[in-house]
Amino acid sequence: MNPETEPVNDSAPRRASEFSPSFLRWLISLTCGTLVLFFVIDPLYRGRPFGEIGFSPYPWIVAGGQVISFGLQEFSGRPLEVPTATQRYSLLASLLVGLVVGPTLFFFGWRMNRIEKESGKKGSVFRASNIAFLLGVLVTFTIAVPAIPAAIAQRMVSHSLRNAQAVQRSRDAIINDLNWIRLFAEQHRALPQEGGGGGGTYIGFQIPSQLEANAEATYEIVNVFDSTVVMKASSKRYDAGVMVTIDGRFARRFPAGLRDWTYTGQFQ
Amino acid sequence: MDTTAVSKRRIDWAWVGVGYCFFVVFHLLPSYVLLEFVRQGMGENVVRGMWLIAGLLVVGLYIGYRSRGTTILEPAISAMLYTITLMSKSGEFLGRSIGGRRISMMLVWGGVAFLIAMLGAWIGEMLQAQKEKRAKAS
Repeated sequence: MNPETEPVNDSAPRRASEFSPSFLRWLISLTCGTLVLFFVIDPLYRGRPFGEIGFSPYPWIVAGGQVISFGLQEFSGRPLEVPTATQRYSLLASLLVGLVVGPTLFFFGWRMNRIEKESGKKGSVFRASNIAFLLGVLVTFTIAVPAIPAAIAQRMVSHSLRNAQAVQRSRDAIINDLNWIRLFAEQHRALPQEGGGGGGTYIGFQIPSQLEANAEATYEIVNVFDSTVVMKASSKRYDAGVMVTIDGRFARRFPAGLRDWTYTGQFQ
Repeated sequence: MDTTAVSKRRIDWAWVGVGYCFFVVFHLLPSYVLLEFVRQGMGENVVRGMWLIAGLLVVGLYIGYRSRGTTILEPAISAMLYTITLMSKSGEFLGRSIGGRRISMMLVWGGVAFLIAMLGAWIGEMLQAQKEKRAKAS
């Protein structure tokens, strides 16, 4: 076949189209959808297609990144780079689009479709209600719906982290108190027996009354030997405790050390 | 006046449009979805190039084979438009000034795509002709 020499017959009736209308409709819809995906949605998911405006479908991830960035700036002693008004407004716009506009379009389009179906009207595939519904579905099921489990998971992780930090703080406070008690034990060991001390041993040492209990824990002595004292702290806040030994065997001239730390319960 | 006068065949613009849609739907969309899985142990650019050439050939061949009459230029024009679309995404146009070098690059790539799709369409037309011959013989 030679494309250059095909005869032209003007009197012949116009050829029927090779494409059915529904085929063309679907093909054009799919083409438009793919181009929108390629040129609009993909750049949105991959970063900042519009420079500083930086629309993000998941603004909470951007916020998380900002918090980490603040932390790093604080850690390195640099002044904080406060987000500009444009960045803030673009994040607000992202939130509104993802969580308000998208679901609104979804329900609005759905409702309009129902009303049109009930009234028996047959409209074009490209009618406003259909387009609104499709856009709404796209935004709702890619942004708004995944945001719900993400929010729940975030709360759980946040609660768990806060709890872990509180336990750690309480443990540190108890360790600090045990160190104070060790200093009193040292004083007792250093004092001669005539002065009410242990005369080089811990025998007779008792925890000072002001240190026996505080908001964090109660402290007690389990065993007292010549050169060691075993202490126990029971947390008031958590089902946890600490046991430690004041060891003065190798500390004739230096303060005794704390060894054999044992953590129980949530302190483990 | 001679009604069977030989004249230049007109381009079927409907097939140009449909061909462009075919490239977008049957090449771009699968590329977008599948290309992550296609890249296995080969250089990314090599895979992309092979994927593009295969797509242009196959879609061109399909259009040549399925369309009524001779359609060789149509998928080639569609392929050129499609390649320009792809290049616009890769930052050839957006946010940059269009200089002579860019235009020449665009023309080179568009020309290559044009030739590949034309080759595919030509093979498709050959297959179609063979099929018609066999149908007539039987």
